[in-house]
Formats: sequence, C-alpha cells, structure tokens
Amino acid sequence: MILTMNPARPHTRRARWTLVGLTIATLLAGGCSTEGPTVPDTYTKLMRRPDIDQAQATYTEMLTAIRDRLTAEFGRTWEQRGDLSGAACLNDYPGLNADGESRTLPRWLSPGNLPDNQWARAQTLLGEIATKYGFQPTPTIRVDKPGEHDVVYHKRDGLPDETLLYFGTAKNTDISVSTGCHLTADAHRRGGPAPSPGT
Amino acid sequence: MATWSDVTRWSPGPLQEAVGAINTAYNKLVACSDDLRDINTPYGWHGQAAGAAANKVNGIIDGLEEHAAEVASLRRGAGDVSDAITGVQNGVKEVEGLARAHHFTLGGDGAVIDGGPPPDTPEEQKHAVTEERKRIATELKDRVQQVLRQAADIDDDFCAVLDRILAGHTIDATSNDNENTSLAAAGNSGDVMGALSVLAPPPPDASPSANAGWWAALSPRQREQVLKHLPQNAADLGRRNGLPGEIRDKANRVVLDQQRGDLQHQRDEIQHKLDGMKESDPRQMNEYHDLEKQRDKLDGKLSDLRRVDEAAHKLGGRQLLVLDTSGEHVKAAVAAGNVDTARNIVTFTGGFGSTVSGDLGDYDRRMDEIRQDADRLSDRYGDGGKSAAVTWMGYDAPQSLDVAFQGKADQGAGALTPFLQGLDASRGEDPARLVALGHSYGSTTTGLALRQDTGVDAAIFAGSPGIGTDNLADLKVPPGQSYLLRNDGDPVAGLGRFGGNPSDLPGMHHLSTHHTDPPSGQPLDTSTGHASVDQYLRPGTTSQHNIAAILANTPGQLTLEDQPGFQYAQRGGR
Repeated sequence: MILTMNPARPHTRRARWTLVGLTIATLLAGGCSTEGPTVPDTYTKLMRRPDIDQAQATYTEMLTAIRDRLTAEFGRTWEQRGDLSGAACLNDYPGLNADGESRTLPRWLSPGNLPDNQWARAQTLLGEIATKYGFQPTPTIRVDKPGEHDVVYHKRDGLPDETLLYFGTAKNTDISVSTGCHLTADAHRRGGPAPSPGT
Repeated sequence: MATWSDVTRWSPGPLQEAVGAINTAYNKLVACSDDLRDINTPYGWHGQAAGAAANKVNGIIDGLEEHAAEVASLRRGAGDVSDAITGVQNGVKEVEGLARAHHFTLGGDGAVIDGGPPPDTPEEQKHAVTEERKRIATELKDRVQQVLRQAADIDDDFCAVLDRILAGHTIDATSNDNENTSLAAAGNSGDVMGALSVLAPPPPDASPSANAGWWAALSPRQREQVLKHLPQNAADLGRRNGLPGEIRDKANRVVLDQQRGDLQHQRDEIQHKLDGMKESDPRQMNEYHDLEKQRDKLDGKLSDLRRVDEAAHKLGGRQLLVLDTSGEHVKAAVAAGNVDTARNIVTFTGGFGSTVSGDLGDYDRRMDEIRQDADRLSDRYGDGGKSAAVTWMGYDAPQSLDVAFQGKADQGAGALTPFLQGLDASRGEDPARLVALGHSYGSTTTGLALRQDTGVDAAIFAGSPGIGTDNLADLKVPPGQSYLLRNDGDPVAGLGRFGGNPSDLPGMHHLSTHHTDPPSGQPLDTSTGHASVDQYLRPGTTSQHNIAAILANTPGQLTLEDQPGFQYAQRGGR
C-alpha cells in the first residue's frame, strides 16, 4: 500500500487550534481588562486620607476603646489572635507599587460566646465608639440568629475608604479592622510618585 | 557501616559525658606549659650533656604537644559526634512517627514494611488510600536513607579523627619552636583536626522527602553551620522543595539580592554599550536593536524582582519560598502566614496572562485575606488552627495563544507537584492540611499536578477550562475533596478544553458562587465573570468564603450546590 499524505490536513488543524487559541485568549483577556483611574488620580485621592501609619494608630486606638468598653460592660477578657499584616493596594489604585498599602490590624478574640441578651447592647456600644472614628453607627448585619451574630461597620458617606470593622460571636467573640488603601508615610510626604525610575 | 537497627540505639549521652572527662584531662595537661618552657632553657649549662638533655626535653615537649593536640582532637570529635547524633535521633524520630501514623514498620536493615491500609478503610477509598501509601512508603525510604547517610558520615569522620590519633598524625610538633611552647596552641590545632564535617545535601535533583530527611537528620548546630555558608549556597537551599519555609525564605532573600545586583550589572553594561553606539549607523543597527531587546528583557526581570521584594517585605511577614530568574519570566512563590507552623495551607496557582509584575501584589493580598478569614472561621466555628496561603507563580503561565494548549500546564505541573510534596514533607510528623487552589489555566496546571501524589487534602478549581482529565479518580485527592467554583457569566469555565467540562465530572462538589445565606454564616455576594482577584477571590463573595471555609476545614460553613443525591462516585471503577 502506498501511503499518501493530505497536505491540507496539518494546515487545517493548525488553523483550527489557532482559532481555539484566539477564542480562549479573547475570553480570558476579556475577564481581566478594566478601565481604571490614572496614577495621578490615585495619588490625589489618597492624599486626602491619612498615611497608613496614622490610619493604623487611629484604628488601634479605636479597637482598644471598644475592648475596654466591652470589658467594663460585660467583663470580657481579650487575647490577640492575629498579627499586624500588610498587603498591596489592588489595581483599583494603579501605579502605587510600594507607595500604597492596606493593613489588617491584629484581631482580638474574647473566649466564649457573647450571650444573645447582651448582643444588642454590645452592638450599640460598638457603634457609639466607631462613629467617632468615621464609621456609620449602624452596621451591615451578616448573621443574626440565636447564639450567632456577625456585623460589619463601613465608613460614613464622604469617607469611603474601604476600611471595615468586624464584630461577631459564635463559639468565640472577635473584633478586627482591615483598612482601605493608604499611602505610606514617605509617599504621603512626597505627594506623588517617587522621582527615581521605577516600574 | 551502621544499620538502621544500630542508629535507632545511638545516643549522645555517653560521648557527652566523655567530653567532660577528656576536658578535665586536657586542662591538666595544658597547665604544664609554663613548666615546659622553664626546663627547656636551663641557664648557663653548655656541653654535650646539656645538648643531650635539651634533645631529651625537646622530645618530651614535642610528645606532650602532640598529646595535647590528640586529646583536644578527641574532645572536639566526641563533642561533635554527640551533637550530630541529636540530628540522627531527630531523623529517626520523624521516620518512626511517620511510619507509626500510617501503619508501617521498619526492619532492622531500614526496610519499609507496609502493614496495609487500616482494615476499616471504606471500599470506595481503598484505591486512594493505596496510592497514598505508595507515597508514604517512598518518603519513608528517602528519609531512612538520609538518616543512614548522616550516620555513615559521622562514622567516617570520627573514625578518621581516631585513626589520626592512633597513628600519631594529628599534628607534627617536631618542627615548631620549643622555646615558646604552648600546649594550648597545640590543642587548638588538634581541636580543628577533630571537627566533623556537616553532611552535604543530597543531589540537586533529590526528591522533596530526601531534602526533608536530610534537614531532619542534621543537628541544630549543623543547621546553623549550613546557614553560615550563605550566600554561597543560597540558590541551592532556596530551590530545595522539602526544606522548611523559614530556611527557603532566608536563602531566597539572599538570592533576591544577588539576582537584583547581577541583573542590574548586566543591564548597566548593555546600556553602556548602547550609549557608545549609533542606532542610525547601518553597520550597528542590528546589534543595537539586539542589545535593546536584551536590555528590555532585563528591565522586565528587574521590575519582577522589585515586585517580589515588595511582597516579601509586607507587614506581618511573608515567606519567599521560590525565586527563579532563569526562565522567560521571573518565577516566585510567596506565603502569607507561616507554612512551617500553620495548621492549614492553601497554594494558589493563577492562570492565563499572570505575571509576577502584574499580579503578585494582588494575588498576595487576596491570599492574605483568605488566610485571615480562615483564621476567623476557625476561631468562631473550628479548632482555632491557623492558616497560611501561598501565591505560587512558579511556572511560565501562558501569555498568548499558547493558552489553547496544554504544554504550559504540563510544565507548570512538573514544578507544582514537587512544590506541594515539599510543603507536605517539610512538616514531617506534623503535616498541615494542604489545599490546592487553581484559577482558569492555573486550575488545569493544578489538576495535572494532582495526578501525582502530593499530600494534598483538598483541591479547588475556579473558572476552570478543564483539569486535564474527565475522571476524578485520576487525581490523587481524597475522595469527595475536589471542589469546583463556576461563576455565572464565566465563559471559560464551560469550555471543557482540557479533559472535558469539569462541571460534568461525577464526584466533583459544586461550590456556590451565588448570593447565599449559609446555614450558619453571613449572607454573601454573587461573583460573576472570569476574573480571579475581582471576582472568585473577592472578600464578601460566596466564592471567597467557600475557599476560606475549605482552608479552615469548617465544612459547616460551606455553601454547596450539589445536585440532590450527590455522592462521591468515580468512573472507571478503580
């Protein structure tokens, strides 16, 4: 038998795979591309916020005040469970690189459930303190059922900086804060991108 | 040569005690130095008898110097051996603990004897358990080999010390100046001769469990000595899967500095050449453009390294587990949390178009959020165990049409498999719960990596165009521990390009990505479309919450969308 080759076949196959590739690449790329703010916009916006160290100090003070109040009111004890952790600002804040940072403050855990008959009062106390630090007095309620409660406080309108205050109870009770994006102290002093070339 | 049976009985105690006795003898001996100097120079005595006496005295001094050196050498050797034996003991302990935990025993020659799966293993899990036992058996063999290698090394080194002492070859004291005799100086020389070497690492291509076994068999002091050789051994230590995260991190940070320096130097040299050329000169045009390309490539890598540096220095600590500048793009893996102590570890693999420059910061942030959410869930609903989350960018993710083909995923799996095995092996007797998470093409890479035994306890595939197989039994993941996340409006998740549509796989759990009120948890948002950072991994979504709940091992917090009557079932009946 004489084997013959169809010269068109490899070409057709390649063309087909190329088409598949183009389709997939288009689909995947489509999922990722977004129009966002420019670099100067980012710095301008963030200059209106305190730098990250100031923000951390402020929210640390708030968490201390909350713990003290809940201790005084309900006799709660507290232990630090998490560490201070920093992360990059997302691509919503382009071009910042090391100039921008968000932080999660150490989480505080109070062993045991906060009883249902104390929850409403605790939430009110928390709101009173949080409003002094720019939060809305009323949180978003995420869970509200017997023995289990979970709320999150957002910043007031006009102060939308993505900072969140978490408060919840189930087996144990905990409070924590994750900040929005802030400039580092250096970048804040500078007010714009560093002059040295950097990508 | 020491057998396994021998080394299990090794104890540092007798030699530690001997060091005390030898030291006492040494101190008495060294105290004679002043007397020796006095008798060597008898004032005003000349002549044949004086010469003979001097010769005799010199002989005594030389003999005592050599004796001091020998005693010091013995003291040092005994001390080093007793220290090294603590490493052997640790290696034995890890092997025995691992064997015991998995129903293996060890023969006197170190042979690994499989006691078979526990008799109560459910029928549908027998295949998976048998496969896992093969990995454990291999790990045990690798570890036994490393312990025996350490034992042989100690034996060889100490025998050499003792042989030199017995042969009187520790030092040669006849050529030195006896007018200024110092037995302590001779002792110092002997001490150096008594030092044991530190066991060299296994070959560069050694398995993760061999690397873990090597590290486990070193004493704490020997480990310090290994680290004293940084930066020379930084690249070698940094790339060894199976070493503790802390060690890889230390080494890779050194590599980061080295590479930044080297690449910047190369870039400066090219720029210097370019500055001396004219692009418009037809004779130089081609070379000029070639150099420009090289410079741009180096700029890209330097930019990658800056992003790695930023991520590695984030507050709260990160572990730089992988750093490799050798390929087209920089490869890196950064852990938020501590992989050496975390109860749970997730490894995230990104997909098409992901690069260190463009994505490491965002991925790292999402991983940090997930591990913190997992910690919160664990405190509220679980055992309080902590989690770590690794952004693994250890492969050349496809950047163009190559996304349509499996080649990059195969290559990536070739790197991800040993990385996962290394995370598992580095924990020895205290394994963490390992979760492998892949998004998009990264889920294909993850699926292919999990065809090998890695120690992974659960797998999550998000926005997956396929996991490389249409049969979950091909994955070495415990039955019922493979999960799928598929957003509404995600066109890639339905492609089924690599091994069919994972949504159709029997036995694959479907995690919800919709707005939900979980049975015990917060209402969560829907995620839509294909993006990872902005959708599947976004805090507050059901998708991200499910990932954190799997990581925290709090199944009560999961929101599943399995069909009624879902049960784990494998096609093929293996």
